[in-house]
Amino acid sequence: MTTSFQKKTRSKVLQIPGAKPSIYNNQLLISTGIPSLDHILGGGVAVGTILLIEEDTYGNYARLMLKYFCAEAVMTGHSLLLASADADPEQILKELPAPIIDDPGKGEATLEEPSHDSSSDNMKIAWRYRHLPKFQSNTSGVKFGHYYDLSKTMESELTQTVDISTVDSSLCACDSKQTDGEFNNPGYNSLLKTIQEKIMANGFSTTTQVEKRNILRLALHSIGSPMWGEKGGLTENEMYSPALPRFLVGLKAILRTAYACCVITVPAHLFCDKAYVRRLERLTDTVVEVDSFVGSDKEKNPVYKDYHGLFNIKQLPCLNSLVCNMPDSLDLAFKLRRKKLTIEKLHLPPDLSETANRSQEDPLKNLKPSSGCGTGGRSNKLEF
Amino acid sequence: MFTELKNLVSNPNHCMSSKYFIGITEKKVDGSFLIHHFLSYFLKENCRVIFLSFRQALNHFNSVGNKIGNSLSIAKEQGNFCFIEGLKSLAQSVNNGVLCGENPWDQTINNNLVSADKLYMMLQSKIKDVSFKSDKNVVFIIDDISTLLDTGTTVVDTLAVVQYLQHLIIQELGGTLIIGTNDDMGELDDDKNILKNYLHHSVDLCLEVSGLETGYCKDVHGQLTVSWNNTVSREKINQRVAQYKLTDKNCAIFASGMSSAVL
Amino acid sequence: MIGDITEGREKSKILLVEDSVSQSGRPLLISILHSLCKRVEKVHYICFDREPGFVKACLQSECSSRVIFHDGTSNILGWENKQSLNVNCDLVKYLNDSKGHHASTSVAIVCDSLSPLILHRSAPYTCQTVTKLASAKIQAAEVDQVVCLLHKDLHDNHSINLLHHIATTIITVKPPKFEHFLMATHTLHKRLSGKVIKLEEHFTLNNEYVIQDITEVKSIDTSKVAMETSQPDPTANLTFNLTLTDKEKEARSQVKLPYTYDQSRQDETLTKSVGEGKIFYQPDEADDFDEEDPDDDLDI
Repeated sequence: MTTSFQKKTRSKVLQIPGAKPSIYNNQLLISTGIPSLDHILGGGVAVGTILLIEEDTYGNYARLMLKYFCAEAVMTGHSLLLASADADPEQILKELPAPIIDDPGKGEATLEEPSHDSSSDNMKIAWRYRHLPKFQSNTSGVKFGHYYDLSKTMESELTQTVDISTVDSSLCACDSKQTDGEFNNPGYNSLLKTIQEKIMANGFSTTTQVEKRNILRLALHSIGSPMWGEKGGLTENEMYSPALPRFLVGLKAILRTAYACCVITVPAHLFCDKAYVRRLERLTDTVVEVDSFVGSDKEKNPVYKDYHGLFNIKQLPCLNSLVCNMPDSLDLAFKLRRKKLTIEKLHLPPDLSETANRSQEDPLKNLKPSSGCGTGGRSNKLEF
Repeated sequence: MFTELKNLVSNPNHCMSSKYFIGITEKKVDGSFLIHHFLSYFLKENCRVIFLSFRQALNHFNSVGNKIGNSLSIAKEQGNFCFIEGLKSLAQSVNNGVLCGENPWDQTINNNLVSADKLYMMLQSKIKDVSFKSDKNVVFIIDDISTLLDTGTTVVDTLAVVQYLQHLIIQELGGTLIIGTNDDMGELDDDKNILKNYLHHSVDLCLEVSGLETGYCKDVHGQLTVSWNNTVSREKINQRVAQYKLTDKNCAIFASGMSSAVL
Repeated sequence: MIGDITEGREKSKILLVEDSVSQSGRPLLISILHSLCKRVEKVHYICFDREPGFVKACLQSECSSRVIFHDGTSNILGWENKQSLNVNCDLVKYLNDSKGHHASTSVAIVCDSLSPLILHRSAPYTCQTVTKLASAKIQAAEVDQVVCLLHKDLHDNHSINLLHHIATTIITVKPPKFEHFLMATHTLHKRLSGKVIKLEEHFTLNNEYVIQDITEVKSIDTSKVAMETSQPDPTANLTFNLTLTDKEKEARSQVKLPYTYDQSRQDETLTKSVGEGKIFYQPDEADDFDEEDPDDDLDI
């Protein structure tokens, strides 16, 4: 049975705009919209997998990362399904960062007329974006990974050029009594159903043959928040709720046979305990945690003054391979500048790094995310 | 199969493909290399292997199998390998019929939950089908049975399934049973802890895969503790600890501190 | 004490052997089984964990005729459609109904293990069952003793406490603290008189599963071996004085050593500006003042 893990066959290499095969294991990858994150993840996120983002306490950076993911959908022409119960998805779409456009003269800008494109809906392409390579017959023109300017928002005309579906809080009826016992959450069920239908109806399933393959990006915002009726992962009887795990298992099963990729953010800090969060992590593929300094004492720590938070890689998948691709460093942090969000290896500020060399003290020693390809018995583990 | 790993875990007193219960516990690492190893090893030992995966689709195992010289598709054609799509079937069964396609586990669903006894019955008939008319030993592998716990099956029901499988595979069919679970959070996750302890009490060979105390290391991916359990033995538990490193096609085993990066 | 209990010299109606993943209690159970064979007419060995063959293989030949094995592992929850021992059975009734040669005087019952009963039924039910077994008559024979194995790491503390409450002896098996022993046990024995004895012991088992080398471990923390060796004072018995008076010791501690970190000295060094160090050179007549450059004859 075909899955979305396509190996390079001798006859034809699968070409989808905005997707490229991984240099490590031939997985088809798409960009998260944050080039520095793509780099850390070994090139991008694999199609057919789930990237779980554990939100920062106030949720701002996680939401920003999701916006990058959505913006990238627009730039690559991928379809997008954006779900949020905490915010209005339409509003999120209005706040996507604007792309930093290269010289119009660069690159090949052949634009197919909309009428020739058999799979297009009614698309109006604003004149100033005509040079942007979209719906091309040669896929090499679509860049993999783009840079965005956070100080500007993406023009709605551009956003409207791609197929976007939204799911909002009307889907989660948290006031209705669950008639089927406490195992399922009707909101998650409806969301899963919407996802499945979109995949089947629009030719994203690996089982349906289509002329031109495209990718579906699923951007799921703050799943597991109280807006979804979730009580921190607990049932009425204070047991671990199987509802969200069921959703994740369903999502994974669907994705494995679809040309789709999911970035899902969860408010992990709201869940009852770390053991429950770990269960959720195990059910997804890639897991990262955004640990922002906002409102914490780390904000005042001189070691961190160049950054806005720590970025923990908690899990990396081994896909079609015995090994997973490990980044060079696991001491990662992120910073938000006017134009972009960068995730990089945590560097000590220059004045502190000098004293670090001279004195015996390691200013990082208390902060090292105890990560690894499996480590001893502490939290924040890396695994793959 | 990984030769060094085979040498590490093999029991000189007992043939692993007959009447053997192997338990795999993962502690914060991915221990699936053991699954890949056993798939390869037992197929090479001329057994009939039935594999129920709750974590990945068949393609993943096919790909890795091809890399390590174990073609699952050929084994399947020859009738020596049977894959049960646990991930998909479980997903179909617990999500209110949202997922498309026929669900082979349809009969096991009772009130939105996979009913343990019916699940066992279904597995039993599948296993008996495969082992029928064959004098080959049967090997039944489950990569991560704790996924049942995640989706709502009680730990007691899960243990019952394990015990019934133990009786079916080892007593009745004289084959080998391999069950994996994860123990990431230790005592913080009560149910998974009980499941892990239960396996540990019941198995003949216990393989614990864990990360290094010192954290991530490029040259040593983790630690493997091998215990040959003999609960009636008057001697101490026979145990070996080794470290391992995975490459694209192999698993290298070495004693602690003996990694080639160190020497 | 452990020997007294296993050999039956200390009476105990309900004997509970508790083990965990780190140390199995089954060898001890088998040892008790052997000793039971010498004391009662028949022993009913109920298997809920592992199939009987496992234990049968360890049984000494002279005992095997006295032990009747009951296999409850093949259909533990009664899912299969067949008549067999399972956790839902009334054990007393089951034993009474079971076929085979029954004892006429005394029997003992061994339950290996109680954990499936607790897991699938409940702890109170298990307590009731064990108590009933202890006071029951199996086909006219009195039950001398009920011995049960329990995996304490499969249950919560409440359940374990309930089982402790009905047991007359609780032997908790642990890995030994000293290498040459097989296992350590912590025994809690409730005598009929009301006295409660608590002991920790180490022992080994010989080939016939007989307990040997019983060594009691005192409750004092034996891991701390604090030995204060009195060292001879090197400054005594000398012809010269190496000791210091208190005043001298104080003065010694005040001396500023040249390379220690000292805030005031550091400040001194830091606050001194660069230009202040001056070198005054006063050549005297003996100094050789050569105008020539000594490096002139260097050929580089």
